[in-house]
Amino acid sequence: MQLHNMIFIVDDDPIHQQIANIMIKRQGIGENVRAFSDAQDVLDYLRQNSFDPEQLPDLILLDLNMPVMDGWDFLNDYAGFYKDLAKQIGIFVLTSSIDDKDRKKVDNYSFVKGYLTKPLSSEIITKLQAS
Amino acid sequence: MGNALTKVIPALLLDLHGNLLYVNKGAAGWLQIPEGEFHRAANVSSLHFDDVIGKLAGVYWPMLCHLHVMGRNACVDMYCHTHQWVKWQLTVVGEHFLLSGTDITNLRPVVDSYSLLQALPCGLQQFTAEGIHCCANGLQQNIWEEIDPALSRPGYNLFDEPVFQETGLCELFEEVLSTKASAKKEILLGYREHSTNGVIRILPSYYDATVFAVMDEQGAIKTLQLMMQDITDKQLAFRRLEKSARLLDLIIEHLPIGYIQFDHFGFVRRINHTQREFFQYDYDEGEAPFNIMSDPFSRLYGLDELFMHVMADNKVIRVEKQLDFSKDSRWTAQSREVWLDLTLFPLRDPVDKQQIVAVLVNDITDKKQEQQMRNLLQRNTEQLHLFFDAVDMGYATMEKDGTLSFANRKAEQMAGRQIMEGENIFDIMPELGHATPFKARFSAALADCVSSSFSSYFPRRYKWYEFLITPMRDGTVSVFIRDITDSRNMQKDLFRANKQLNKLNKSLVNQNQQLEDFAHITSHNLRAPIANLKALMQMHNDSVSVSERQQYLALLQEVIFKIDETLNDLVDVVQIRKNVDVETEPLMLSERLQYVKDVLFADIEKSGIELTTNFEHAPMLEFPRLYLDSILQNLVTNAIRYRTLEHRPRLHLSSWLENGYMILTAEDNGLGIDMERFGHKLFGFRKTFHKNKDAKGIGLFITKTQVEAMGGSIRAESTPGQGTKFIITFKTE
Repeated sequence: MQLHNMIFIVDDDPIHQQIANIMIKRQGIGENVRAFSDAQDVLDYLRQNSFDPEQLPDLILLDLNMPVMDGWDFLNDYAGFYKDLAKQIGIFVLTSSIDDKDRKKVDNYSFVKGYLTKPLSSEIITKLQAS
Repeated sequence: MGNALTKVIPALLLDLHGNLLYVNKGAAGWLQIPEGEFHRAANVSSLHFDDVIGKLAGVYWPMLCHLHVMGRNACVDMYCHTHQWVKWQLTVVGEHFLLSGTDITNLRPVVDSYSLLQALPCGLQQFTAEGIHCCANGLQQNIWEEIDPALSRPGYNLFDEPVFQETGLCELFEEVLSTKASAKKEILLGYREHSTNGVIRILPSYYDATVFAVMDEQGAIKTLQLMMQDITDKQLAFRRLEKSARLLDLIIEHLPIGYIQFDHFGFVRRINHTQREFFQYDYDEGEAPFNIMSDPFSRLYGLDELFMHVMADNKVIRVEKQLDFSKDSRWTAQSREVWLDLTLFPLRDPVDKQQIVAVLVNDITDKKQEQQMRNLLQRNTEQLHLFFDAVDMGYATMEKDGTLSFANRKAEQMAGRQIMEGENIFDIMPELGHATPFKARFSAALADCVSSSFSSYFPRRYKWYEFLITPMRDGTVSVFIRDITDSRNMQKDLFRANKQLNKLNKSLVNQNQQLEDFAHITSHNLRAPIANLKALMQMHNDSVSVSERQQYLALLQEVIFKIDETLNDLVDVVQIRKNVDVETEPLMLSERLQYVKDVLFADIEKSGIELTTNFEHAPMLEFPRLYLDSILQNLVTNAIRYRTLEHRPRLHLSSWLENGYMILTAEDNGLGIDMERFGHKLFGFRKTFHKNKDAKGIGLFITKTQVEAMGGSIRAESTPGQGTKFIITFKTE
């Protein structure tokens, strides 16, 4: 079983943060789960630690619908610097939107590994493990 | 016996010397001398034969005696004052002579040679064979008097005279000298002045000169006689006649119409130049002459009958004939069909007094064709008029001043009466006259020579008419008039329907957008908590630990609360959108703001916000009261919520009218929004752009919904750190 050392959950919904935290830990795919309500905070962190693979997450679960800075803003910003990161980070969009437009739009970002719809389930976690 | 005789017979007694001895009564009367005896000694005036008879008769006493001696009949004829011719016969009576007179008036020839010469109505002049003038009668002398008096003087030689050389008189004499036969010639001798009506004209003097020779017994020419007769008048008359004839000839030859003259039998005797040109035919003398009575072409078209009619009726006939000249190859090179105007008139030949026929030929082919064209055109025009009568459009043709030449039935219907040719359109329909759009367009179309199309409303008729004014090439104007009242009304209805449809469509698009928004809202804002519910339920069910389950249930409760809150917000929005026909009322902006200020009294006090307004230019708005209150409350709440702590918060509300809309602005000095990043979702559902805990992202969404539900719009201008300005546009109608 591949273990993801560090997983970032980017979602403004505190309940979802709790659910994700519990489920990831229970499945045992990540040791170190961190939740962010503000996408800007994640970007700032990644920039600060771009040269340190130890400090960079293996996986980011990104919500799209967030106040101030939403998932799209995050992806646009991230696209500009992800190649400079010392580690290749797997980014998954995890959203409650089942809108096809959103799904197609995500395809434009090559570095996004998958589009997952809430609720987070053990099946999804298994998918994450496979990646 | 002698005495007795002398009593009966007029007689004279003479002595041997010719002296009168006795005159009886009869002789005395003839000779106009006293009767009785004459005694030489006693007589104071003795009378001699030569005095009383000789000089009158031209035979003197010696000649008479000589005749008597020679044994010839000694007598002398005398013309006496009683106009009687008396023959005096000499007889010897002893030693005296007796002259007995007999009235021979009735026995004498009518004239004697002398008086004949003098009385000749022509001049007569005698020349020697050498041409020397001998004598001339009175008339001849008069002729020369006028020309040159020298010519009739004795001893003048005509052969030396240059005038005679010139005139050819010498030639005439020479001819007679050589042939000895008489010769005759007309001679222009010279010119003489002639005064008529005070005008002196120089006229030529023409003479008929005849020369003949008088020969002796041996046949030698004794004398040459010149006989001259004045033929000036005749000659002049002849010349005049000749001139007239020539003129007539020329006139006929060059008449602008064809002239053909036929003789009594129908043969062509004359064709003038025009006609020859027309026939394009060179007359050949050798050819058998054309005869109208026998020529196949003339018979084909009945020209022979025409000729016969004129001959028989002795009347002028004028006919128009259509002839196909291609059917005749002999007399004309014309090979086309022509129309001729023929005038045949009878004439009497001045020479042989026979009736002849002259024909005037006028080529009227062009005229006929023009007439045919005109007829065709006329027919076409009539057909066109019929056609125009049939169309459901007014049509009229007129002069530039509006004088009508045609108006179709529809135009008459529009005018409301029958229209006669020559009437003026501006009289018939004064609403087209001076200072009307029609008149202006009419004048402009004529000035520019361009068609003009336009429509015009006639309020008195409640009619819309469409006009097409077309200036024609022939200087007239065609006007088409169409009643477009129905179509105009339909257009209006259509426009109205279209407007409604547009409105409906807009509303549908709006609703569609709203539906899409709702799908989005439900997808994001309802699906998220429900997904949480699902996950928590799953986790709860999977868990065996009671404490864990407790934890999940607590979370579930929290989620349910969130869902409820979201649903309530959505219901509010749906309520607004559903209420499109919500009741409006006139609202004073200042009053409604005061109400909001009262509601938010605590927040306003706490934030210390400074609220200023300028509603002067648009103090009132027709709007649902609840909505306006909500909008104002949101604007004020936003200004308080997103104020900056750096300085005293301020909000300025202002209103004015612009292009039929009322504009309301709310400008604060708060945090501001990064419009580049968040502008597109500023008015979205549950969108927040500040990490403010009070922010729910619902206020501006509701405001936008309320504004748009009433047909208005909202937008924002902002600079982060400086403040935000919301601009709301309200419909005022």
